[in-house]
Amino acid sequence: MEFLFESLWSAILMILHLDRDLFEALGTTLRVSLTSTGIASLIALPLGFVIARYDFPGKRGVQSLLRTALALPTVVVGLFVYAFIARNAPLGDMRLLFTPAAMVIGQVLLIVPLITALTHAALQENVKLVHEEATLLGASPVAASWKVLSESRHAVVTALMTGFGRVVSEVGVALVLGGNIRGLTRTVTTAITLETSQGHFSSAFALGIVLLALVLMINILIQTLGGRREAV
Amino acid sequence: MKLYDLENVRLQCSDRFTLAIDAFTLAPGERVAIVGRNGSGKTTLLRLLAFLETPSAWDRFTYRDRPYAPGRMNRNGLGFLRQQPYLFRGNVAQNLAYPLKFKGVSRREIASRVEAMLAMIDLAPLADDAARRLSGGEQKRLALGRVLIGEPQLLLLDEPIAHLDGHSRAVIERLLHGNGIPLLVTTHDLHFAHRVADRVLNLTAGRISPSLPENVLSGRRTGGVLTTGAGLEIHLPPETAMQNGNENLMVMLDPRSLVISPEPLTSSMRNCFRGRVCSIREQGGNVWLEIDCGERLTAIVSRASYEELALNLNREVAVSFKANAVEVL
Amino acid sequence: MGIRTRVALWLAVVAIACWTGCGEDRAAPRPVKMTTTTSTANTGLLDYLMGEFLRDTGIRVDFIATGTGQAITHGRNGDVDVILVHAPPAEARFVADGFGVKRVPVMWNDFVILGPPGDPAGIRASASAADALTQIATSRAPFVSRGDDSGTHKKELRLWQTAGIEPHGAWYVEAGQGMGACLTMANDKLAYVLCDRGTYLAMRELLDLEVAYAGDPELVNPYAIIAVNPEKYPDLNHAGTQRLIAWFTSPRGQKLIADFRVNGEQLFHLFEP
Repeated sequence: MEFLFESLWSAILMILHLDRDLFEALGTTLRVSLTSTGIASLIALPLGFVIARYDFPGKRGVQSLLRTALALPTVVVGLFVYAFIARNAPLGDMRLLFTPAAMVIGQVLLIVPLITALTHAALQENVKLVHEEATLLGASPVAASWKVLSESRHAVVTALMTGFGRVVSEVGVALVLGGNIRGLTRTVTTAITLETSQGHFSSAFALGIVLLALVLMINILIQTLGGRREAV
Repeated sequence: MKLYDLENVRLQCSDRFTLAIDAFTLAPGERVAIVGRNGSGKTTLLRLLAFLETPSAWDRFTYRDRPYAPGRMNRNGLGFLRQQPYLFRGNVAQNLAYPLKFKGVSRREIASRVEAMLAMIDLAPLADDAARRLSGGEQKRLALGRVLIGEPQLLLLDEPIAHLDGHSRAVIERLLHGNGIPLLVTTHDLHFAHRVADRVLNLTAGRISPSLPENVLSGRRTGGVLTTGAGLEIHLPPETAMQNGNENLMVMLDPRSLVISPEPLTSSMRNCFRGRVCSIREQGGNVWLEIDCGERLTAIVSRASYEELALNLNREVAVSFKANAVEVL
Repeated sequence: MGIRTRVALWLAVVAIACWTGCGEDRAAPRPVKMTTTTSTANTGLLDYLMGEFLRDTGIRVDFIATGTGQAITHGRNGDVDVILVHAPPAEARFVADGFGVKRVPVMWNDFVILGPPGDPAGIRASASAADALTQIATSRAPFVSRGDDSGTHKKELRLWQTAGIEPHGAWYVEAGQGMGACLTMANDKLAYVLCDRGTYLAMRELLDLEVAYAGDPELVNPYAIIAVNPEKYPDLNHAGTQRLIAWFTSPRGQKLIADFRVNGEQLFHLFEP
């Protein structure tokens, strides 16, 4: 038990001392996770919109595929991407393995189904109505789709934050595709794994606390940015 | 040029019926009202004309002389008001400004046009209120204002005054009278239809009739009885009769459901009137009779029963029909 | 905020994230990629050595610590330029199959059998490592195995083979995890465990486990560095790899290895020239 208190203390110390390893890991985590969430949202938001808005053959199949993909273990996603970027694989020439870019690819794959499914669920109820109304009022297809997303912005932001939370906290992709290279692909979570494997439980736990604090800060930031101008 | 020109357009809208427009045109400057009971396809017809539904077949379907192509129609200048409008998040003024944002209208002009429209729909004091907190009538006014602010050249309005308070009704009617924009409006209210439109069409079970249907009667309901202008007292179907209170109501009788007999019948039919035959004509193998019972009622009988009755003009007959044969519009 | 402003802001965020995410210093020489075992990484040896190597040559070494099995697989697939491992038979096959250029011995440490305080199975006086394992198996004392195809795991399996025992039963726990995790587990279960001395020394302060048996020449744990064959994979960073191998075997590299101390103890030893 006492290691929990010890951890809290060492978390504070690490932050106060501007511990270089910690900030490198935090930086990598933030860069990689934000990039993958950003790219995933560029794919998943339109995809979720299209699935919610239009009927097409095989729609139910796509939906159940998406829901199944939510259960994908991160390591499996990692190995799947590895199959494409390993050097004798189709994309091997790009030398992506063990780089942040590889982690981004894996994490994008990991959360595109998640954000798509959540966006779809968020839009489902109103999408046809809002899209028609905006279109009838003269909005272009892009502007009308944007209106649909922005009418459900709370749920859409929640979908994005859920995706972000999943990539920030995952280990499998980061470990298999990133390799936990210090200063390059070591994220907070792979650092936690490393510390745990070395028996340094309190510093592993301290890293967990720092990671949570960071995500909390991002959540507050988004809420103050987005929540200010809310009406109904 | 015609705004719309439809010939033989079909649209399967549910298992129950198909919208089947044999012929329909709308000329520039023309104002048409469509009356019909719930579920007759009025909304579907408007959606078809706003290119929100794709017809399953058509011989001719043009809009401003351009042939219909699914997904490729330009809705510029087309204003559509749905029966239950969807208002966006944000306040009243923001909702009004939305259509102008895509037209390259300057901020200053948007502000002034929004202000003018707020006055016209009588919502100026509520400009900063959340649109979705407005009452039903205010929401409808806002939605109409949001359609009109884009200066449409054609209006498709679905039940613009149904279930509204008197003030909102008046505001909306004033707005519709005040402009000469061609329009197609659906309504339950025949009086409103005549006030706002030059031409009133009937839509029954997905089919447009060129004129008003036979046997449309309006009057005042007291309990289960409708008293028409000429004093005819018509027993209404039980589901209507169960509603309390008085209201102005319009009903329709299917000419085929009227039973003609020389003397009043002793039967379960609750409505029975005496009248005189004032016109007889043959059409489509049947005989159409017009009987003046105070109101003029049209009945359709087969040739055989016509001969059996041995009718002639001015002959006094009894007209009977069930309360259930009365369709409330 | 208008739609365009929002879209632009969102794109800007994504662009900045991409830019920072993909920003690599293109002027620096190409880094060398190396897979290695947890025992060299977790002891801190590589952080220390590769820092010196970077200072000497300006070449960064990105090392990925895994089990020896995975390290060799990455070498076979050409995912890395070089491997630093400790499993002589697997290394020999790696070179014989043409994936490795040459096995270059770098250093050694030894394996020890750790056990709970008091040595309940009584293996301290065993004649050999195989005897010690036999003793553990007959007394059914709990034993934690790496079970992950690592060098340590391969070593352990060879020792069981020598002892003529096929270990199974509730007392034999296959963890499937790295050395550190296995030590923590053994410590918790009061079990015996085979461990490289380096990892043990690095973690000793956290453990109640003691060295129960050591000293059999069988337990010597040699580390070798092997360049992945550039004939198989021409675009490997072979030049950087050669400098790394030369540096490892140079007097300076060797001295740095011998000088490496954890809690005042030398973890890795040099081969006699």
